[in-house]
Amino acid sequence: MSDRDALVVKGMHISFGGVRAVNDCSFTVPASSAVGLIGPNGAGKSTVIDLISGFKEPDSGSAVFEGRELVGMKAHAISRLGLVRSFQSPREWGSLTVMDNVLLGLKAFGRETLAGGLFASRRDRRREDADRAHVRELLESFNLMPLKNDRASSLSGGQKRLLEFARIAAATPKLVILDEPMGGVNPVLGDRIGQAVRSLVDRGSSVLIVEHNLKFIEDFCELVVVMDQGAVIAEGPYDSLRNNEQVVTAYLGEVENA
Amino acid sequence: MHRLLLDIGYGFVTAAILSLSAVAFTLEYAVSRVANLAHGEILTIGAYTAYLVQNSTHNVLLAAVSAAIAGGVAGYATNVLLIERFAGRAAVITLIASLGLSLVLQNILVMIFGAATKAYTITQGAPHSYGPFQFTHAELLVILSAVVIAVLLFLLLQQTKFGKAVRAVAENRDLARASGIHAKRVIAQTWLLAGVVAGFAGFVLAENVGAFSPSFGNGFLLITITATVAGGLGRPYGTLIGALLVGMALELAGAYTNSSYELAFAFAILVLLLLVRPNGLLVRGSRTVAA
Amino acid sequence: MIYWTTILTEACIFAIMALGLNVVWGMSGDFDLGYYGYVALGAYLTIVLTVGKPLPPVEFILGYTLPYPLAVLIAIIVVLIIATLVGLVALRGLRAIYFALTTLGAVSVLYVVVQTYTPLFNGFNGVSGLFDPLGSTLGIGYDKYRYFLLAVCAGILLIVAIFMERLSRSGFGRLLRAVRDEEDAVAAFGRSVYKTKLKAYLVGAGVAGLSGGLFAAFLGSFNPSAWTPAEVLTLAAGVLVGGRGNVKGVILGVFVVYIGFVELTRSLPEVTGHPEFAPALRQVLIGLLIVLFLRFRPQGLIPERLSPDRGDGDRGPGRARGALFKRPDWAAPRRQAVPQGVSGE
Repeated sequence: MSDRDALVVKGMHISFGGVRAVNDCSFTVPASSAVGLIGPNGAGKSTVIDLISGFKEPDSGSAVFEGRELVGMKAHAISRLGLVRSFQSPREWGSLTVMDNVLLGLKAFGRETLAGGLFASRRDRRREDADRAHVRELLESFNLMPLKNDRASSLSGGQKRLLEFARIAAATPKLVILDEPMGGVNPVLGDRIGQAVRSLVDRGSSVLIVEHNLKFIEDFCELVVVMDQGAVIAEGPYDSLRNNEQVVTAYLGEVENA
Repeated sequence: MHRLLLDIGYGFVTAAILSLSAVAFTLEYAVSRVANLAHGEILTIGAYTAYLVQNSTHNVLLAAVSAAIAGGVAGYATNVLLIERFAGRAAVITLIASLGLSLVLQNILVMIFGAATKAYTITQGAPHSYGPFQFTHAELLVILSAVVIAVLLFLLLQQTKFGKAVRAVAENRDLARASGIHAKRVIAQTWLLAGVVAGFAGFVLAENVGAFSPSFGNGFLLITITATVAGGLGRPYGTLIGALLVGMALELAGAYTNSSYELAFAFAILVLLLLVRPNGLLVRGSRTVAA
Repeated sequence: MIYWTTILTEACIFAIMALGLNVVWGMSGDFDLGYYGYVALGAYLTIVLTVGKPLPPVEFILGYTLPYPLAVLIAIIVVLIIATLVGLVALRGLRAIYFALTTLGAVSVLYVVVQTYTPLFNGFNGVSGLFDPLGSTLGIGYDKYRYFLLAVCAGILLIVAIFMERLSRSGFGRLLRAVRDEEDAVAAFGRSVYKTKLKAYLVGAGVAGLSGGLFAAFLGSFNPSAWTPAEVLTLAAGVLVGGRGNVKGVILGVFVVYIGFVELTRSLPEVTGHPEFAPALRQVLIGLLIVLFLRFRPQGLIPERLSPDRGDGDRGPGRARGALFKRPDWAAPRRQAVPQGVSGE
């Protein structure tokens, strides 16, 4: 791998009950870029995300992120390296306020200790105040400020997506993996989600996006990785894939003709 | 050597009773994804019913059948009155609710029958040698009935439309519903079936131990759970093997120490299983790792 | 007067127990079926550390004559060590069902072993002889001791409650609730679910050990007929009625449930020849209370409160400032249970 690669996935394998869900999957995410990961339903995209982010352990294979091998690491440890993922459905902390949700996105691990909870020092409190101010700015940029004291469970689907992005932005990740960020989002909000992805890249993050909305992929991703039946069948700029026969039969044709 | 063989023989009896209770527990779990902590009370209800019927009719067969029927009613009612009402809630919530139900049922029995232990004896018959083992007539019937029930359950689950529906619901309730299965009804029927088996297990356990009380089934719950976890929660066939292993282990361990510690052994086995094979002894599932 | 002093003292002790249970169940979401085992261990250990060597045929371990506070402290430490072992196993699978089963197993085994293995805590007859601890040291006479104990228990309840309130509002409390709501997201944002849950579990167990020490002083003796693993349900009923996750709600819930049941049991007529009837009825009612609250009002009478952000730049509707911030806690009940603002789709 070169220094210009944020993530290098090599030879990932996993089977569930004899079925090979991911079969020799390899691809690369270059630094500071947006890469789309597409493929028909059941191609193994979400499983690959789980394998990279430590939510599932592969039977074999490797995922190297900024020179560190991720396979074998715990999910939270991977996240601490600067690789933050989202889930297909927004996983907000429903009983917490919007504000608290974003506060928990910050890398403020030191202030969530048990001792800190019982005996908070004045310095801790000052830091927390600073964090809150920072989160307020973030909420402002995602238009969530009026909702900051609402329970996250009371938000609409689209607002929950935005909250997810605010939370990710708070974590200042080096690599973001988004699992269908457009899922269940109405077209009006779609643009806002697009801007949110864009702003993540502008802030210096690399982004890997699993998405069925090909227009979105075409608009926002420089590179596209196509998966089918657990393996990568093509890789390259979106335009170059239009004419790739394998891709067309597996996926694009089916979607675009539909 | 002779002693060991005798204990292995008892192990088969324990395993037989355990397999009945554990299969019922695992069926409940399979369709509802709930560890029913009021499961022990179904056994207790079976035992009390058998006791009452036998005292008035002096007919063991009738006692056994009524225990099964009472268990079936109890299982069905547990689902309709409790489990179903908590559908879609967090597993912990339903679990605590079932624990609440366990408390209610146990103490209703105390209110009716008193907390004291009741003796329950049926003619055991003299021990006979069967190969290397010795069983009384009653013990042999226990083993035979467990085998017969296991075979019937196997046929039911594998060969009938109902069995296919149960497996589909256990696998994925939404998918089962989408493919035209009346999931709610299948679940209710499964609880009825599990109740029948558990009620019968209560009768068998009571007559085998020779005594029972309102907390009797609850005392058997942890052992049942251990056998179920050993076989893989929600997997009826694995559970049968789990019951055999756990029953045998308990009987052998109990034979050489104080039998009051059976529970401690069961727990030790449970902890070991959870540490080494949380998905059951026979399952080679993929590990899901979260932080 | 003595009657009410006794009742209130016991209610305070139960409230402390419930606050410990609330950390695990209310805040981090797991239900510790073995919780009462830690209370019992705390009580047993406090007694065997203070009453001296047993006289045959009574037998139990240790048999020291340590000062009462030191005994309680050691009891808490031992409880914490055992809880660490149980917690490490129970939380390992990170599945709610395994946690429940492991803790259930642990407490069942403790109960059987305590009952059967007499050299430990004298088996079924239990340990006794803790008579008015600190009474003679502080020169408090027999007649005044009840009031002293009530004052101590109420004071400790207050301290524990303040600590819990702080914990609940701190970053750690926030993290615990996040674990309760959505574990995977917690891991995805770099926090270890396992470690967080283990910490909460230990806080709960420590409080249980402490309350066990107080309970020992209150009862003077402890034996297997003084507790059963199912006792945790009485505590759960208090937590549930008051409001999971809400410190004041939990205390209120325990007082209501405990005093309500004591009074109810008193007013019940004795069933002749059936002494178990009234206690059994009490258990039935507790079971029903739990099932009904879980089903129809899981948030309890005083639901968990949101901790609103007080900072400037609040451009939301004016409601937030006045209504949310200034209303006293006691008067801030139901309206907040309903999610405010934009409702879901």
